[in-house]
Amino acid sequence: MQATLKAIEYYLPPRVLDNPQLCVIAPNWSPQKIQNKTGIEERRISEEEELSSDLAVKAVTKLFESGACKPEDIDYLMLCTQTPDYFLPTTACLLQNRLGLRTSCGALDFNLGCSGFIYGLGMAKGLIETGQATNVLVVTAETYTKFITPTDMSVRALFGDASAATLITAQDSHSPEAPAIGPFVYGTDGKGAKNLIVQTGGMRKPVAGFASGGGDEDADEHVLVPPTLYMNGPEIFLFTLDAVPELVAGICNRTGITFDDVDLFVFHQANEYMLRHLRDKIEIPPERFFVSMSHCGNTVSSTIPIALKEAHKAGRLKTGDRVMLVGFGVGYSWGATMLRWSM
Amino acid sequence: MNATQFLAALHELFDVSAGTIQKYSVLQDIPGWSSMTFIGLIAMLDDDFGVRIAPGTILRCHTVEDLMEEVAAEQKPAKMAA
Repeated sequence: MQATLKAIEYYLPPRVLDNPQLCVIAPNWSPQKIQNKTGIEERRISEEEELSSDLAVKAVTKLFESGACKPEDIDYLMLCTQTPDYFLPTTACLLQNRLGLRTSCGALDFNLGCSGFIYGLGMAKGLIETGQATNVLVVTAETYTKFITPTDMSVRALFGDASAATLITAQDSHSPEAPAIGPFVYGTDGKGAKNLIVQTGGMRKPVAGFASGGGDEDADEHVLVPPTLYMNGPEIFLFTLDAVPELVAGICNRTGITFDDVDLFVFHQANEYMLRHLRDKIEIPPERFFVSMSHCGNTVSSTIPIALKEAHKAGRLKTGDRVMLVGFGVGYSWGATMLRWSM
Repeated sequence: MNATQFLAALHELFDVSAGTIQKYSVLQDIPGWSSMTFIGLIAMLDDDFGVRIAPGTILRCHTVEDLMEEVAAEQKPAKMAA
């Protein structure tokens, strides 16, 4: 048996934050300037009580309603999120119950960001091709905007909330063609951890009792510091200039393919400006480099499945096409794989 | 790299009228300096001048001329190797 990608659906929360609204927060910006620098027209923001699990339920429900599969077909659910509902229990266990999946279904969360979809595909392929599962749901769901200070334009202008549900299923593999998913190239460099981080809220700096003024425990005034996203964009960009060309070369070496063999390149949709620079640097033909983020911003682990769905809807992907997927970011963590399009 | 070429690239990046940026201009006082133009600056240095300069090093440059010196210093070993 071999693993193949059968269906994708995604969900965006209804509340919109567009560029004119952002300019109210940051009057020295203009809507056009934000559009030019990011490629983003609007992002979606989850409501206060709307959590990753809620977004995930919406995306998976769309998948079931599309007829791609039924709840009882699913024998493994993995949720990629860095904004789980709780420390414990595992949010995927909550989803198993809310989605009406079988109790014989495996379920786990994994904590990755922008590279997470690639890692999810890798694990799903492993489960299917070792006979452990037949229909795996890879769900990505993030509510990063809950970590963002309203006035921090460096992240407010980029990130949006979203979820995506991808069905990976087993099929007979008598084809001489390349595998439907794979091979994979992975990478990690924890030295970059400090450049994209939420410092508080974990066990190192729990929120309750965290002192202001440099963490002075004797300070009279203890304030609750909400977990806040910090991003050093220039350092992250410098990291991508090194890591991504190497990653693309790595997947080409592993598969023996050249750029001429790739019908579409879909990278993590971090920021269109950055993507265009990487595309030109790697010398990928623009007509085969797909960008789709103007309607939702950088949705972290959901950017690649959202872009794949949009490419499919736009007629940019047909059955049998070869697609290169490249994810990179928080960790630092990165990964790439090839897909033979089968939707 | 010459100063005219470098200043022209900065004018294009920051989208300001000719003469706005001079060698003595304070880097972070250039109109439009932000986290996003900072990323654009790193891209410009990589694209147009073939150098990668760490963000911390750029932030330590007070004026445009300081940055030009960093770029020239980065370019020198590559030229010697070539």
